[in-house]
Amino acid sequence: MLMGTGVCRGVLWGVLGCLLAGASGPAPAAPDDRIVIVANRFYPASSLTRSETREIYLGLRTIEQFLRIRPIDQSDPAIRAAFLQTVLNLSRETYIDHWNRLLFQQGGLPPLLKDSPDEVVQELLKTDGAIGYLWGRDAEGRNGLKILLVIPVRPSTAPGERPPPALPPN
Amino acid sequence: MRNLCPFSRRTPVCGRWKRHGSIAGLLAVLLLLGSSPGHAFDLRGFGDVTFTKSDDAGSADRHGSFTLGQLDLYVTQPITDRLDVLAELTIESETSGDFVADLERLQIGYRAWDWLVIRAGRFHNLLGYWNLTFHHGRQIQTTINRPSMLAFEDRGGFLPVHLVGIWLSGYVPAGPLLINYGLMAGNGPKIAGLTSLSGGELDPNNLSDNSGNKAVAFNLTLHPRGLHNGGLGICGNISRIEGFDNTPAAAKVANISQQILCGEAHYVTETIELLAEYYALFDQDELTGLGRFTNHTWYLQAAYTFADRYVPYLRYERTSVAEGDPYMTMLGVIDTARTILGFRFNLASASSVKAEARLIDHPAPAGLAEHAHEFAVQWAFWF
Repeated sequence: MLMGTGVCRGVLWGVLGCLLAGASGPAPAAPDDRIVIVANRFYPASSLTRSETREIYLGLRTIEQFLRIRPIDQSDPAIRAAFLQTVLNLSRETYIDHWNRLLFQQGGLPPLLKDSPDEVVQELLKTDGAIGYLWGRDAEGRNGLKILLVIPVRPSTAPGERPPPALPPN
Repeated sequence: MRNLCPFSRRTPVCGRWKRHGSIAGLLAVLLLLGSSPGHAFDLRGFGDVTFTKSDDAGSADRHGSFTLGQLDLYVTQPITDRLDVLAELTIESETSGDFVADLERLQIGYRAWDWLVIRAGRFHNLLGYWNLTFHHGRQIQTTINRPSMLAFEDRGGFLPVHLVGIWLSGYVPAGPLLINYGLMAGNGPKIAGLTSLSGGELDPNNLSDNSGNKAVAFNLTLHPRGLHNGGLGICGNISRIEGFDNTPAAAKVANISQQILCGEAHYVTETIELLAEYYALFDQDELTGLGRFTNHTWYLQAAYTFADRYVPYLRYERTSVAEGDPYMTMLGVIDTARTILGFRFNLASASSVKAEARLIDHPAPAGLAEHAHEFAVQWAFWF
């Protein structure tokens, strides 16, 4: 009987272990203490709030004074995770799921994905409506760019809320 | 390869843009285009397989049935940075067992500003939250089926969930709120093939409108800014629906003036899903002069996700039909209450297995049991 109880307890811990195994691990360490939101120098706005940046990257805000905004993502996991968690309060998976759903719901233009800070800068320089995020140090000394927002990076941020599968089409 | 529905003939069946026999060709074209470097768009889709067993002697699932759900293919393609196209095409089995292709959504849109997006084509109507969020993608909805009042027209639905016409929409920031509005105008539906004022099916009039009275729909939803996963909205649809009998002359037997008013509330996070929708339908048949009838239908749904993949859920839905309403009679709608208790297991972000127990209550007539129980399991996927 006691052995049976022990087995049951073992199974219970095993099940709990399996349930908890899905929890997210820690985000990659941030190599800088700030992220800057940058745009082409002809971008119509001179600054952005964090809420406005969030709306741009969720596809809710797409036009700035007649100019189509083209948000740029980075594939580098450290800055992407830091940006998504700090500004959007979303995990990478949830963010991608959001865009998959949004495109299914209403179509549109998803963010461009670039592999390096240099590629982000090149896109920013050639596209008036482009907006991207860089580590602060990667934005230093770049000509032709405009810094719209500086965001201190928190060491860790809990995975955030689910995005707008909820969103009605626009 | 039977062609039951040539475009040159506007029969009730043909009005749904269904073509038998051309599915393989259509798929081949889509796949070729999707893989061609010159036309590199992203072809994606949904599918599911469902098993349902009912204890209702009048149900088609009384022996337990496996059903292939819709194969739902969609593409979305920007033409310029402001113009884009979206198409959603389903391939599904009819009650006869034949597979048919059905163009569910086809829209071209121009984004003038964030507060004004203009679209033309075939859309899901501006009715509530579900109809504009999940479309035909069963993998992204928590439950196995849509709420019964939001069933598609060709599956016994009584709300006009599709509309062909134009659609204006946009987001307007207003202090702490983000206001989303929509306005649609298009062909109003009709009901064709009636036998003694029953047995009809709502037809969205894809090819042409049988009357000059256009349907108009609207919605207005408030989202707290910075918390875009919640919203509170109102909506409505105004249309005139004519009913035609199944004689060769297709005589008009009903002329319904209908107003639908609705409201919805939703709150969806990574762990919590709370949905509620309410619809009031006001029908008046101007041919018979029977007066005005008011019907109510609503649902509540709650789900909780734990450990990212286990999702118990509960839904209660109810439809109350005004006795003698010719619109509801033509479509065979009766008072119904459904309680659904289910559990969903997310195998991956793009695939899930759902199991549901359902208790269905409705009046005894129509050869149905007063209380019926159903059990269903579905394996859904997104690719």
